[in-house]
Amino acid sequence: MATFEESGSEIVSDAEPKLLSIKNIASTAGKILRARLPWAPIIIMAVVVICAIFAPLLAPHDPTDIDIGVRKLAPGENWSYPLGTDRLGRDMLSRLIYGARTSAFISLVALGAGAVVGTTVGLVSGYAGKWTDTILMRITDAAMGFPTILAAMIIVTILGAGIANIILAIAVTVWARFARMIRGEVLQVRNRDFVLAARITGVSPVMIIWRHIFPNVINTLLIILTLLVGQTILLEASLSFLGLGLAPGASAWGLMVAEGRDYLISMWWLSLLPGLVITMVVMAFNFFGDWLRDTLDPKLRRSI
Amino acid sequence: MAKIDRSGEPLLSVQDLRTYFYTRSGVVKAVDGISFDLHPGETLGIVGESGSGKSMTAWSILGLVPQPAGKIVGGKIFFKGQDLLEASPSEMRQIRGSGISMVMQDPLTSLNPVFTIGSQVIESLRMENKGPAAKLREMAAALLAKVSIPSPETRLHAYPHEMSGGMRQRVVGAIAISRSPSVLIADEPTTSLDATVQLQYLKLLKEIQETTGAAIIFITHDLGIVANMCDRVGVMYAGKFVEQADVLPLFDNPSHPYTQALMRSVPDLEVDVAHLPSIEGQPPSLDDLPPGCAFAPRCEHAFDKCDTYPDTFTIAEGHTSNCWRHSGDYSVAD
Amino acid sequence: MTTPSQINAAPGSDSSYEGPLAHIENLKKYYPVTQGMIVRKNVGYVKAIDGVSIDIPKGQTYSLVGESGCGKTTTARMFLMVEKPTAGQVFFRGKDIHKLSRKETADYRASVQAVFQDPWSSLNPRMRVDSLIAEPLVTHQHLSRTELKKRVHELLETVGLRSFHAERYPHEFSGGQRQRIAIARALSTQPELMILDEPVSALDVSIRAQILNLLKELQQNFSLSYLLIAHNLATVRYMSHQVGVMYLGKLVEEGPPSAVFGDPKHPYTKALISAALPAHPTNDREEIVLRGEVPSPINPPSGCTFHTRCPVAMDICSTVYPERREVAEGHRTSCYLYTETGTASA
Repeated sequence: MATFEESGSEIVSDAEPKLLSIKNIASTAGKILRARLPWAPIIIMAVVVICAIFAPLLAPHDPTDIDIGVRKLAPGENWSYPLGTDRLGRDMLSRLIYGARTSAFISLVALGAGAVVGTTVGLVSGYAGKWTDTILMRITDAAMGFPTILAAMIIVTILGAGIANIILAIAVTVWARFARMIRGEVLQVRNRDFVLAARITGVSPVMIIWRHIFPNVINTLLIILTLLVGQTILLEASLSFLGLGLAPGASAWGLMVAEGRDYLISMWWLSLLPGLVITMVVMAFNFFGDWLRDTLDPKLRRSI
Repeated sequence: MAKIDRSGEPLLSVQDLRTYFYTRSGVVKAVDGISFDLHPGETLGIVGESGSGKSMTAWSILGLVPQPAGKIVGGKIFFKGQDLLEASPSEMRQIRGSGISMVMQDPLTSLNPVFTIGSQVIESLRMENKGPAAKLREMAAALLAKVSIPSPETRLHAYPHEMSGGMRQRVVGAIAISRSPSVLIADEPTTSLDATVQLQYLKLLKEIQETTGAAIIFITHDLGIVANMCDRVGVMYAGKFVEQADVLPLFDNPSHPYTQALMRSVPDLEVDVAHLPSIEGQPPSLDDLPPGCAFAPRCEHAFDKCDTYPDTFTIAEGHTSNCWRHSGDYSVAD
Repeated sequence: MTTPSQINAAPGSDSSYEGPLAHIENLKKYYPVTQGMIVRKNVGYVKAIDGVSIDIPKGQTYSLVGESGCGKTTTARMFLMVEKPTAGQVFFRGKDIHKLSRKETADYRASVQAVFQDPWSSLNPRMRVDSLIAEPLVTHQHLSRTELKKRVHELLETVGLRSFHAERYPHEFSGGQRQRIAIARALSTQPELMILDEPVSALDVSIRAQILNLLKELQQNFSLSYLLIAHNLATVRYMSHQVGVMYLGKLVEEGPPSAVFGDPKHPYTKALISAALPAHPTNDREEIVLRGEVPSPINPPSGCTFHTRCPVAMDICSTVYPERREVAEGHRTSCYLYTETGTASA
């Protein structure tokens, strides 16, 4: 690796950011564009992302604004509050829009952290084999078997409530899924002759993993990532619902479902609307993930 | 090699067969105007490189062209006088197996790993034979004995992974002949076998042919197999037959430049050679063929006329070659 | 053809050394066979290589032939230092490769390169041709980017490709061209020994001769030594200076190709030659159809491992493995037909 950097070669260095090279992106993008796109999930996903980014511009009201004068409005009752208000007079639509921001932030950061840790573990475990693999995989199994809710309870008890701790709780269990899937892929790639050729040449293990194995498992990584977004959003909602982590009154979908559960008959929209949003968003990500998997890597179909 | 009686009606007659694939990057003419006759007891070799369309010719005859991209767009295939392209799906199912059957390349993937050898052979037998299970079992054992599998009774209970590659290939052969087909298509049946096992298997195919009188279509890239197994040969290049002849005239007097170059470029075990004349260039890709003769870009004899596809020239009786070099114009251009 | 600069200044070269470039002595490689899910019990060994010695002279080709499982590929891989032998030594320029210093090991890796059977698997699909070819160079030498670029272009020309190919990806090439790229990569560190593992058997028939001729030409220009693994005997005859015939982990016959193929001694060699189909329909060859298949290397037959399939086996053959004898100059075989004990008992 050292020789590689010191030589400062043009040839090698313009191949190094391979993951981002135009050709690679073009080939993946080409595959995606040539297939028939699943428009419904894409639109839902786009709406979530736009809401998350532009929440302050899109929300008609401040989601924390308490106005006793307009409390308990049903959807459609007053058009300046199209989706109604809760029992404190907060605008449901604005809370849902801000909820997208909370969900997106928590899921992305937790998934990102999980992906980095899990991919590293998977790459090392799969390539090193032998006892390294055994030890890492036993740890992975333990992490996978550990209930996220329990992890969250422990973390919140010890470290206190807060977004950061919810993220930690999710990341602590989600990395194991990346580790398992990536390891499985690595086992296939490492048996290809080009890995042997690199070993024969004396390329260091770190470089073999980085330049020969990692670029060949990126498609898998992308697929797992998309498939897990839905699950993470659901997990975040369950944790909020149980009151683990976020302060009451924050705008999070799971929390909103929880707040409305005592009024299911009298104010049905309090729980139903955030519940519907969660269902739609999770389904959108799952459908999109399935589609991406089938498009990029049909042979993964059985394994995820 | 027994002389083949070609006076009667051919068993299988393929006329101007065209199988095209419609892909995003254009039309791939995998089989582009193939014609041949196959008589009872005859062995036809179809030689070509990967992508020359030789396997697709076989799939077309069996009515198993991959859908939806592939389509037989022209030609006729007569089997015992019946046009297979007009046959209904159920008629085709009947013909596959009992009329025309196939031995595939890889015995590992063509046997189902979760069933015993016995149940797979019996499954095939049951389509034609009714009777008690014990009788079918007996027939299956006899079939395995016929393909020289030792202790066939016990082997019926074995699973594919418990047998060696050569034994598995024999089982595949047993299934292929279980319904006494009159045409057996062998698509590179020995590429996964070791040399000494390949020889055993080729001998077995010859024996089966002698006892059943079946005609065999041998699809291969190996000129050695052609020389030793076939009565008649079609040399395929880019979806077309460039030369057709009986095996002796083909090896004694190869006429198409591709056949000639191919034979020269294969090393000989009998003699020391200092330098092999190689064929330059790369095999063509079927979605981007040059106009005219597809071999012209690699051909040392190519001249201006090769821009149009050559006519079929008769070299001798039963020996044809598609090359302008056989026309009068070549000597002038030369 | 361009000549890559300073080919003979290979790292670690020692001008006083005069033996074979590489040789192995009584090499053994056993793989343990285990059974049981929880408690792993050792139930035997696969004897992949069982006492093989060969010499590879400088600038020559030594070929190993035999059927699958005979140990030819394992033998070749012993030179690549990806596995350690169970017993015996591998020498390069007279030095045991498993006793080299760190620096010497790096030099050794630069001097021994390999070309594999399947160019679709041996080139990383995500790397451009220039970085593929430059990787061994970058690992072993410190070159400036202009030097590196120049070398890559030289190497491409050496193997019959063009410099603009450097910027393409492997999938843009046909099988023969990909094998040329693999060869250019192997050549980049100016190796002295190349392991060729079935270099043409995955290629189309019409381009095999191109690649074989290229390899021969490179051998002459750079006085390369090759260890060639191939199942096609005619290819081996065309390429080799020495041939070794292997059966179940043992070298049963060895000699120059004209002797081994023209006047084979060992019954297995004879059967192997008879199984190679003649190139012309009228060529007749002695036909030896062996019974059965190669036995499992886990519990190989006693004595001469070939006696279970041998058409001329004698009683003595199942006792002790026959010693190696020289039957003609440079032509050796291990068979009781050619020893006093064997001929006496026959």
